Amino acid sequence: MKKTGVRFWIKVIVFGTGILLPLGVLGAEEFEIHVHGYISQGFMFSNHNNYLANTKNGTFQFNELGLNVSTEPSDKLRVGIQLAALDLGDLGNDRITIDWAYADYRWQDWLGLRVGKVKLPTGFYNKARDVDMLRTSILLPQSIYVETFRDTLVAMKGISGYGEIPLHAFGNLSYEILLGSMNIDREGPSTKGVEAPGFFKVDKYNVKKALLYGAAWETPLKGLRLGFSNLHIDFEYTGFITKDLIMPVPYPPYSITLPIKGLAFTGVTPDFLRTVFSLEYTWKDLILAAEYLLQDQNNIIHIPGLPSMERLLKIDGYYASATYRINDWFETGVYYSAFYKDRHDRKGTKTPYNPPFNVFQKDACLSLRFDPSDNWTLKLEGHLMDGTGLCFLQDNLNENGVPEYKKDWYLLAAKMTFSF
Amino acid sequence: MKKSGLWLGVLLFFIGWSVFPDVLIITNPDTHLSSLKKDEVRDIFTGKRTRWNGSGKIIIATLEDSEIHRVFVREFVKKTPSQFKNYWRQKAFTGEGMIPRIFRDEESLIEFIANTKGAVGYISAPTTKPVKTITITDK
Repeated sequence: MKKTGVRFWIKVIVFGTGILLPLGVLGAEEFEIHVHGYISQGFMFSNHNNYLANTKNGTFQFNELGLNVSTEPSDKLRVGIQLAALDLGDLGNDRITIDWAYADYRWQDWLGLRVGKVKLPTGFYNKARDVDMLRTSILLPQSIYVETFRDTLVAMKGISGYGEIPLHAFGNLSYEILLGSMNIDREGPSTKGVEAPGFFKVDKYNVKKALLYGAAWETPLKGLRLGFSNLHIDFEYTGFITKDLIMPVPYPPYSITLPIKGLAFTGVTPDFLRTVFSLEYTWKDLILAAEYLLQDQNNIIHIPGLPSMERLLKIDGYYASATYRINDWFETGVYYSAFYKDRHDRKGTKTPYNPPFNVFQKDACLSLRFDPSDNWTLKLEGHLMDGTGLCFLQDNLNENGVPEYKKDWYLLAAKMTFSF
Repeated sequence: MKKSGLWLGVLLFFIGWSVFPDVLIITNPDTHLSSLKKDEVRDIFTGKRTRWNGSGKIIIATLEDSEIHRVFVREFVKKTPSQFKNYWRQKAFTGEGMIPRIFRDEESLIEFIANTKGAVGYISAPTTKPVKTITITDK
């Protein structure tokens, strides 16, 4: 986000509070200001395939920091802001952004309103995905919490309604509805995905509408929590073509070249739909979790003078995980995660994925977490990977500019976090 | 040898059981209620319930890691101490809540509750200070 964006959100908080003050919402004689922060530095290494960063050579481009301030000016109102920066290969590059910033008016426990930039509850753990010490693993299961689509899935700006509804003998239901828009980072991983075929250069995004609704049910069975969320986004992007299109004809080696290099294009994704079903069971120090993702998106590219190109993606993914707190110092976790670019062709044999294992990415992960004090967290983890469905093409070109992948590979990660 | 070890285990189990502290839920005396169910206590200490019926905002007071804190979060909040800490940290780092006040000892927690309207906390033994002890109806 640009500096003007940061200033914009600070204004929203200041003016939002200013509007609420005359309405009598602010009534407390004095209020506390809470300040919290974190700073993480990580390292990743893979034996094959660059994933998220230049991991084949080992990379320290894997860090995050954040600082938040919040206060409760009245019994029902809370305002706060978190500034954050991250670096993950090409993503973030330590630019400071507004992670979240909003005024939260909790009229009743069953109905509250938030205005501003709000974290997206798509899956049980998405809201806290930026904060390493809040989880056991270093990388969340990538089938659901895809880092390569992170900039679109973290937060939206707009208005949100939420609440807690006690169901008495049937547990407790919490819900959240968000309506607004979002900033997709032109230099973020979503752009890298669009530009992966090597034909497009994206200039800007326009998110027309984003809507999320979800609920979590704490069931009467103590420790069991079920949830779902639905995210709809209607967005478009514009840019230009970077290459002429060469079309083969039935008489090789002849081909037809369409001189489209430099032409403007418009990409439209009118009905991006992401649904996540979640389950979590906590029994003493053991937490079991599983989530399933369905994601449909119809990408249409318009180039003046040419027929529109349309591609319907039907993605799915799932994971199952277990974490166990051994004692005050140590925690361990395992998960198995599987992501598929095409849920109707899980082996990549019908669709033109080259190589076929580029249609999926399966990940068996083992993590160890060490908390020597309240403020410090150290983690180590290993991933056994099968497939390259989440590895960017641009990161895996050989010296001749040809994509080069290996099906079976491993990734090691280490991370240290200080928080307060 | 084996038999004596078994008896020692049984003895330690009962000693451990007997020194397991009782948990008393206390509030500021202005709070207009005298009893709560365990689930209601859990909802309060997880921030799902933020207001007393007709008595304004609930202000949560907790203790630093201690035996009474461990017993309280396990018995009432159904979380381990680390899960409880992580739960509130998550709220703080996602903007959905503010970490409750944490007190070093029961005396300072009692002092705070006695002087703060809407405050609620937990202690291990009855006190003569001006706080209200809440009856747990389904203990």
